[in-house]
Amino acid sequence: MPLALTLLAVPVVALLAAVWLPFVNGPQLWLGLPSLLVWSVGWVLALTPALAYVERCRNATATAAAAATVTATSTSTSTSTSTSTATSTATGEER
Amino acid sequence: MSVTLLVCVLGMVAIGALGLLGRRRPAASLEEWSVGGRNFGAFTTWLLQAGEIYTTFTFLGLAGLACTSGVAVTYALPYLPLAYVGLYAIAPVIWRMGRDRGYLTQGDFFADRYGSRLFGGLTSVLGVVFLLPYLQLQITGLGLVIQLATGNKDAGTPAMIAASVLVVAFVLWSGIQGVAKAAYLKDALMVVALLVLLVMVPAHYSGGIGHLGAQLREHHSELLSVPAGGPFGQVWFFTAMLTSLFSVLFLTMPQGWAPVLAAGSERALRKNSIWIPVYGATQAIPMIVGFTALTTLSGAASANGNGVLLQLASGAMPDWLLGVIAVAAAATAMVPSAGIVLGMSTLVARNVLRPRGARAGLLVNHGTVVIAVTLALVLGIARPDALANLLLLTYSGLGQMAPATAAALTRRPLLRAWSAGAGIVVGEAVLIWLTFGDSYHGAISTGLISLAVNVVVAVAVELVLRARGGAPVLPDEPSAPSSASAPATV
Repeated sequence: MPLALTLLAVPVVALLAAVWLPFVNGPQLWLGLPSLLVWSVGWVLALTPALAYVERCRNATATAAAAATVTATSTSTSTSTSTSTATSTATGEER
Repeated sequence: MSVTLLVCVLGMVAIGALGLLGRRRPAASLEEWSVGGRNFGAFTTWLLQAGEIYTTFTFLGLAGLACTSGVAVTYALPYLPLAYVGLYAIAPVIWRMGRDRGYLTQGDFFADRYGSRLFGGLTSVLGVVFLLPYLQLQITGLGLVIQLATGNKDAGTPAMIAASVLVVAFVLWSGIQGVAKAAYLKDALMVVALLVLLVMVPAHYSGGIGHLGAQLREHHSELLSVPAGGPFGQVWFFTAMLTSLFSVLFLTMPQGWAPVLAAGSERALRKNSIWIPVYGATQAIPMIVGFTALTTLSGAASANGNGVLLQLASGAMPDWLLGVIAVAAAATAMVPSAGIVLGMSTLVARNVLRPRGARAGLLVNHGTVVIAVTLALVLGIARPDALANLLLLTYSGLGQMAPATAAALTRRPLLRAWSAGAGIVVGEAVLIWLTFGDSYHGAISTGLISLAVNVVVAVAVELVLRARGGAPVLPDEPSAPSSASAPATV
């Protein structure tokens, strides 16, 4: 997740800083259009894959957390079952 | 009747008809009418939220601004996608609170989170007052679209009346379902219109985008960069962008709440936030059309900034295609108008007048729809400039709600109603003074200055109240869904 958030920060910073960057905010043309316009469109479009990656990492983390919870629950259930079996055996309930 | 006018009329009727088809039976409750059972999928939510991107200002205004101010217009490009980066995290929080506490409006959120109906009412009154000129702007914009596209000055007023009647009809009948249905057609038309404009206008007038750039550099190189100083310099660019970003990020426009609260899941909202930037990037197209106008039109012709897009389109394409572009432009007025009036009416019914009983609530709500649209239409026809001053305050005025929203997103609100309210009142007062006082000529956006004052006042009042004892009044912990029940209040 930290990597995903770092990647997301790149277009965010690039867009916020655009007007202060001399090589962007100048009279030059990129692809036949004003450089500030091209820079802005490019980084706005980069937000979508960056956010999609954050979502993917978020889902992976949520899935892993859910799996860990299930494992922990089943472990505690089997532990409590074996404990209760042992207790029952000791008290002769099985008979 | 010209071909263009015929296509315009058919298109407007189609938008209205689609809106009416949004619902088969009238909604039984305000909740069903305004948030549609809270079960919209990602695509419908996307359409509703994307519908807010392309208003008449975006479609016509950005081209005009590019034509008059050059590349400074790009301040409008990043703030919305950047706001959606934040909304990726914030919108699900608001959605969860809305589901658990039965919110239908921004006013419900404030009343509940701050435990004060008075505060909910205050923010709602401000919301309605600031939205009225915005509604008028959409209706007046529609009249302008039809006038420019058909070249017939007499066509504007009948078009405004017809569009208003259609909007009232489908909003009353279908509520948010109708807005969503109309948004399907609107966004499909927008995609077609944007592609056609991008290809045909620069090719027709400049011989293509490459030649357009060369002409810009040769004749208008001073407009290819944002100057270091001056009224539209770097500081203005940055602070205007930040003000708009905060405004969108914290859902300060009341009509922005219904699409969030109507979503079926948090995931739908997150997916929507991921894809909105792609649509937001297309705002560059009206800007490119504006740059084409800069190189093509003479000074007098380009002075009417809002008209340059349709003016260029009319010279570059056949009448029927111009009609399609005009319908897309008309849709940018009709669909946002429907969303705005829906937001206004629910605020009045839920947070301002608060009639007892579901039926009375619907009656007040529907009455507000009719009154608000009629008022905006009459002012748009008779006194188009009557609300011009108020319109100057719409964005920054509504933006004053941002600190109160931000402070209420935590599990326990960081402010009391009195602190947040004091911040909003002082922020609005400073904004009005800066805008109309004729004493401020600085480059920093007036909205950002008043927002800073708002935060300082809210924090100061909060500190004083805490020093006098006691923690903020807290809302109950979110519990079981409370359907359409009124939010917890004091």
